[in-house]
Amino acid sequence: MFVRRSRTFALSRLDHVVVGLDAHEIVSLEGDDEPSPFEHLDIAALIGVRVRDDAPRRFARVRGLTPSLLLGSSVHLADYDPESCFPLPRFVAPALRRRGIDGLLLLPDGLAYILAMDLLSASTARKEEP
Amino acid sequence: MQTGSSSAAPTAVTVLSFAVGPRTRVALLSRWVREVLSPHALTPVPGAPPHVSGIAQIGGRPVAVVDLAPFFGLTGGDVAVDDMPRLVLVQSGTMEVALCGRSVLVEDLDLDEHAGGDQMFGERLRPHVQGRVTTRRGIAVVLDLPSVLEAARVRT
Repeated sequence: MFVRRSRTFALSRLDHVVVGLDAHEIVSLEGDDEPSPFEHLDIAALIGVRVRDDAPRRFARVRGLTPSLLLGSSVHLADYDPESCFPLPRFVAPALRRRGIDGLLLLPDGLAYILAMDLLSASTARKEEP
Repeated sequence: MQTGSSSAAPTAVTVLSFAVGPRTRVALLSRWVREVLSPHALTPVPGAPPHVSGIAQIGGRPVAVVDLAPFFGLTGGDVAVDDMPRLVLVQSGTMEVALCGRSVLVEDLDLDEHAGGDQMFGERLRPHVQGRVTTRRGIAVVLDLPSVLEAARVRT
């Protein structure tokens, strides 16, 4: 079940898709000039979109997940009303959950996919399976 | 009690019909239809099949938008430019979806329920046919909406 736990999200635009990460999950945000000492999980690759190679990159270290997350460029924090958060439409939910997404945030100019730590962990575990 | 004839009287129904792809018109019983809307901005759905056009904000909530043309294999040919694109918001149980369509009509018509096996319907469409109606724009396939949504929904 989708549960909203924070009104603050770190948002990142990846091609035509915006992803949001609950700010309470973030331990630190690091830039390209401070390369993450940890293995990282590329969110753009996970959800299947392409980003420009020369775009500045931001990594997020999050609670309970060993690899840091490569969020992409132009990461910013923003507050949203709790009523802006929605569960995934049933029709498409499995495709999105498989990519670590478990909710939607309504933005003034579109939608953001909310990343879920437990689903990202499961996705990482699937990648590591032989 | 009706006697002496094997053919039942046609059932009068209110249907909403719309064009899907260049040559096919489909219809839905009005009880499935919530609203007809202008096109909305879409957010793409990563990893979804081609018939999932995206997710739109409709009435302040996210709704999956589905194009039945690629799902039924109804591609090729040009769509008439004077047919305004629309979103047909439908609901079956807890499943709410917006279907892409053009040239939307709402009419009271006689439903021919013996058309399910008709060879004029393509192989991918036939399992979901509830009957057919004759609209002002020609024959329309009446779809069994729960069957269509169950078959078209994304599973992995």
